[in-house]
Amino acid sequence: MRMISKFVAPEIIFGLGALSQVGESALRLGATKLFVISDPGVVANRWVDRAIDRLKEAGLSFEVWFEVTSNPKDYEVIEGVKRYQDTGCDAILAVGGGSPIDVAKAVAILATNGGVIQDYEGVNKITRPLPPLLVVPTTAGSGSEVTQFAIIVDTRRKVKMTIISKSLVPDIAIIDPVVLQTKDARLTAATGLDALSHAIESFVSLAATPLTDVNALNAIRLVARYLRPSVACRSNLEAKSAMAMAALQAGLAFSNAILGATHAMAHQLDAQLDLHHGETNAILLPYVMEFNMIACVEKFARIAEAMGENIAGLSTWEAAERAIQAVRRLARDLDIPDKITVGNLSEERINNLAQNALKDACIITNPRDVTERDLHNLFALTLKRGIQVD
Amino acid sequence: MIDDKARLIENLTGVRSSKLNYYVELKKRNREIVIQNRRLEIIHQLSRDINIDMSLEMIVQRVYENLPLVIPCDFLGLITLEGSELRLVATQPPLPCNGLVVPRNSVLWETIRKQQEQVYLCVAGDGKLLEELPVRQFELNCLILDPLKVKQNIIGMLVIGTREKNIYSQNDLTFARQLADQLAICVQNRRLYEEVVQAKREWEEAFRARVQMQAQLIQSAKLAAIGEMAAGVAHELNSPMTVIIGNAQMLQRELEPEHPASQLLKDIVTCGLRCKKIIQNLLTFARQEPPVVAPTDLNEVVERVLSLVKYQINRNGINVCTDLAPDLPRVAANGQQLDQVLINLLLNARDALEGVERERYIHIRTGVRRDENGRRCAVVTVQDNGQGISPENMSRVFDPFFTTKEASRGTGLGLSVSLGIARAHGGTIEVESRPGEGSTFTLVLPLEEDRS
Repeated sequence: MRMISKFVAPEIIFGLGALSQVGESALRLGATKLFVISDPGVVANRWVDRAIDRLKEAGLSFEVWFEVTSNPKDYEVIEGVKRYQDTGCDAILAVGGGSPIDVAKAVAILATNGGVIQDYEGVNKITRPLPPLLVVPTTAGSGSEVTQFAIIVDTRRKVKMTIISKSLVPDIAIIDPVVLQTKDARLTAATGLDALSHAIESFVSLAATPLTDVNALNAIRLVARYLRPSVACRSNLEAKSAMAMAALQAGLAFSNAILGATHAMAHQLDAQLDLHHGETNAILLPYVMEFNMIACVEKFARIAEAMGENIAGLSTWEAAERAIQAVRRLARDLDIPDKITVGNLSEERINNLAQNALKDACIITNPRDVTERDLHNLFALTLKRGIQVD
Repeated sequence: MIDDKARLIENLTGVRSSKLNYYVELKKRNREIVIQNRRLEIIHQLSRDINIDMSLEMIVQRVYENLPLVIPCDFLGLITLEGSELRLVATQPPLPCNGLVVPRNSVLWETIRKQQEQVYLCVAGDGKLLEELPVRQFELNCLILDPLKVKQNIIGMLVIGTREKNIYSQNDLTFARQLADQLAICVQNRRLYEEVVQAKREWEEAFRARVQMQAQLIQSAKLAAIGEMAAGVAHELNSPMTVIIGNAQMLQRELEPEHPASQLLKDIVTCGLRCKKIIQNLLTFARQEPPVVAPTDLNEVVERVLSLVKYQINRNGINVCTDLAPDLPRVAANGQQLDQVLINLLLNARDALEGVERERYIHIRTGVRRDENGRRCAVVTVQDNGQGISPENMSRVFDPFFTTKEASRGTGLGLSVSLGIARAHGGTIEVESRPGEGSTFTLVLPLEEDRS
């Protein structure tokens, strides 16, 4: 239906031991002093040290800053920009999961565009180029290393701001599956399911194109096949590599095809309750799939096929339902609950969540038109407490 | 609604957006900054090393030296608004058209009227070429015309021209305006400086004149004191003189004309009468009495004066000849004052002939002519072939106390007093002179009654 589409991706360096390319890559970007952004978990695993060693080898100077939390906050960005500017850096290296990468993008925006991060919420608000941005993801999920998205929490409004711009696509993404070995089972599961929801949402997105579909479907296949072994065994490098590729392809798909209601809703819950993003998505995904199914039942059938379901002889509708079952089964196998367990959440707060989700940019490409009432129902459905479904 | 959604998706997936390149942008900005720096340098240089006593040609030359580095520029012109005229005062490259007045129908006037800059495209062939600027000569294709403003007042215009076509950007225009503003200040400063210099000159002259006036006043006061004293002395001398003349005349009557003492007595009477006259004149001069006006024959004045001074003049080996108009109308005048004027002119002529080698003469003429207002006038001309008056002194000969004679011989009051007398009669004294050939002084007195 759409006549013209665009596919934007960074330079991607993929493979076991790819981390060794950090110094070389930074030199290629023309950097002289790098602002290295990470989080305490990654620093503890010494991945940052390894990256820094490579920078030193390349004769580059750097400044390390790792005070980033999950669901990164606006005040962290303010602090980061100040540090970046005070230390006279001219390029940014992010080593970590989605949070450090998103903070790195936000710091880059403010470093050359000025203002506060709230100014850039929404689509295409960035007017000046960002400093060179080099990213090394340490989780296989967020896809942030290849996307045009950055998600930052506005702490005053308690809202996850979605910032979308082609300028946010990093210059170089270095993806080294070896790095994934230090992640624990729960984090591996949550990030893996996050990648799955990226792939599924972008596959059914209104903005999907053949180029994004290829990436999305492949990501779905890889997650269905390798997420379980990856969670099960830290040292399974075959599974880790497949999951790294799955996260990468899901990222490429959703960066260009955008997402849907799952993420629009998850952004609100994460911001309000500081939940783990991957897990929230994993819980929301099957409910939203059920809601969306009437919009694109054929695509759901293809998802079922990609998930490894045997759909031979099934009607399209039955096959599509298999897709949802497959997602639920995968989540259950990985010990992901099927409800979001929270304390007392008033009707008013649920209304509030629905209102904000309707404003989220991700809602635009959801295959089925969404009303505030729909969102309210979906939230209510996923938040219903005490009833465990078999 | 559907279009709206399509537009939103378009925006998200970004057919119209692109990843911006930091280094490409950085390089572009660097280039801009370098140019901007050069521009600032030019403006800074303008304000720093353009002296207020620099000519406008020099200023334009200085600006033109670096201008092509920052803006396409093959021609730079400065036009000033003087009164109701636009005048091309300086150009680079230099042209002989400086001082050219811009015609009223020129597009240049439009810029002045609109009070804002404009880019003018010189299109060949459709008659839109500017004749007043060297558009053809330099093959200019594009001009920026920018009025020079000082506090909303237009004082001129800056013209930047180039051979390139459609080249000027908004950025260039902004720079041209900044340059024009700075130039306006330079031009204005120069004008103010000239005004200050002029005012200084005038003030200094006024000051000199004041000092001179003060000296004159002191001198006048001295003279007044001497005059008063002289009047006293003259008055005292008058009585004994009367006695001397009376007694001499009485003795004369008693003597035979052939008596050897008779001639002596005659001399005593004549000299006594002369002394009395001098005393009378002295008294008249000292008292500054209002002149007694009566119909006066200028020929008689000439005869009378010559009888007084001819001897003195002849003694100096100077020929005095007269050429008197036979039917000269009488002028209403004070004869004694006219005597004084003529004596003055004759004595000056005598002094001017001193040391002259050639044959020396003084020529006195009388006559009638019309003055520049068409009035009939009687004139007395005293012409000598003496040393003449140097041009620098011509304008000062009537100044009180101005003299070229040695201190012991002249007070510098003669011509000043004479002119005063002539003016009191509604007339004047004219002077012509050629250094080394001689001078001619003419006393002009109106014949008509009305004296304005």
